[in-house]
Amino acid sequence: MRFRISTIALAVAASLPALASAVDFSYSGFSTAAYAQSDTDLAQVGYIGQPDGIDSDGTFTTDSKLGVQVTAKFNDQFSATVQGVAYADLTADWEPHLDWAYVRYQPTSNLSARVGYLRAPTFMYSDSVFIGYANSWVRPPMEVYGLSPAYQLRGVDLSWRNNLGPVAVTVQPYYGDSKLDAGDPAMEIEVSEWAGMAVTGEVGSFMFRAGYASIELGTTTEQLVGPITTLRSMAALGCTGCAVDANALDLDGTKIKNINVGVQYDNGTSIAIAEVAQRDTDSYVTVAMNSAYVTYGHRFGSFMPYGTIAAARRDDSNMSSAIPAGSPFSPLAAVANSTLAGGNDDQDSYTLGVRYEVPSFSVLKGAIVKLQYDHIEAKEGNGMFINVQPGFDGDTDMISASFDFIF
Amino acid sequence: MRSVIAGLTLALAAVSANADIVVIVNPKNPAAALSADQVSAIYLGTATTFPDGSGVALADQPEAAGIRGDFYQKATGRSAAQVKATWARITFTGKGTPPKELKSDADVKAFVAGDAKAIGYIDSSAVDGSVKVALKL
Repeated sequence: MRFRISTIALAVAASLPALASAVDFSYSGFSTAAYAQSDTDLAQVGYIGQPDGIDSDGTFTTDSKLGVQVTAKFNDQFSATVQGVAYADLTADWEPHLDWAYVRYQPTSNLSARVGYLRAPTFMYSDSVFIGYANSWVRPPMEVYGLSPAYQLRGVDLSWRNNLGPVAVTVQPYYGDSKLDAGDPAMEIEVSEWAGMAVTGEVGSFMFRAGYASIELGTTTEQLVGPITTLRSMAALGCTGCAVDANALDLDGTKIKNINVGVQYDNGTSIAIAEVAQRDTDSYVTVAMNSAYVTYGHRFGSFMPYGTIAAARRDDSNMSSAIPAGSPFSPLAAVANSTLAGGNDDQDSYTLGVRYEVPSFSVLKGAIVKLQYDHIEAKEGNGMFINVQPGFDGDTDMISASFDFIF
Repeated sequence: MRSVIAGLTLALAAVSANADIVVIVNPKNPAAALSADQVSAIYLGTATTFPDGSGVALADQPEAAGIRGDFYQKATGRSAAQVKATWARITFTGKGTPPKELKSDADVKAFVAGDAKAIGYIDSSAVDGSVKVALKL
């Protein structure tokens, strides 16, 4: 990966002088400096798979970002864009990533195709979730945005706009693969196939959106290789439930469908956002979930107080009952049960915050300060908390402060 | 007293002068006029073309110019800062490029006069035959 980035950088640098006269370059950037602290050290707030998140020690790591983008416009049809962003990925290390690197072809004003490293529009704000300056919250509601931590799509997308009466419709299909580094020590999870589509309709102050994605994973979790092998060997001895559990524990071959709908209303003074999302899968590692949130904010000049209510509910249809209790193989169900117990579960959260637009000054084209309070409650199991220790009572209060700007 | 009245009159005159913003396009643009909704959609990035399907090149006024805030408030119902956030989302997801920021009414007028796809906004007092008024705000 490091080799690839430096190769691209060298190629870009080498071609700069030759192209400079004919090419229109533009540079821009965004940054979020954010601190968050909760009232417990027995559980952390973060994305599942992250070895470190937000707890009572407080951290700048989880939500802070720094992104720089360079676009080279060759003519009205062709452009190339590279965006590097430093942030904490699922390994929880804050480090630079080559997030976007693509060539865009725009044969008409309403049609564009891109190939390269992209960001999949899984949920309504997935592709712009790092642009704190443009978003209402310090971080997106984890109940929904935590359902699919795969952001980078290595592949192609198309964007086609058309007007249906008063509605501006955008259809964005995409296809490719991805990989995720997660955990400590980092394990690489292949996303072997990823296909999806986002359809957006905009009319007046309203935006409606529907998203669909089908993901297939291609890597077995290291700690589960042993148990899966045992279960499969028992399956050969006639334990049909063992085969079911083995497949549900094996991320290699796991299929996940993300289906969601969202609506945003923004008339300039009031903003209301709602998204409902479903993660549909048979996997015991990344379990089936149904989630939703509602955000409302009202602007008073440069200030906007906002509130969010979010909920996630586990779909219990993938609970393990494959190996019947009392069967001679029933001790083997323990791995399935412990894996399920460690997965995402029911959670509610309540958020209140205020967003303040700082008057622009100097090189800062615009800046925002946000203060946010979250109350998060695990309703079943550990909710969506990570790194939970014994004795955690299931709920936490958290405060966050961010300074977002673009340059 | 007289100077106070004169001052007030001047202030009022200044307010009404500021209040007259016009959206201008190139004289070759086939659109006879644009609606406030169409201008809003173009300046919020929702529409990437004129009603006839041809592409748009957007001009903006300087950050410090009072006309910028007035224009966005009247045309889109949003503050200039809110519109900037909208364009930040568009820019960093690679879906478009923000309006080109020019230095003055004269620069915007020259930009629009020189590009058949261009659209801009200026104080109505600066309008001349080189551009076509598509909307009065």
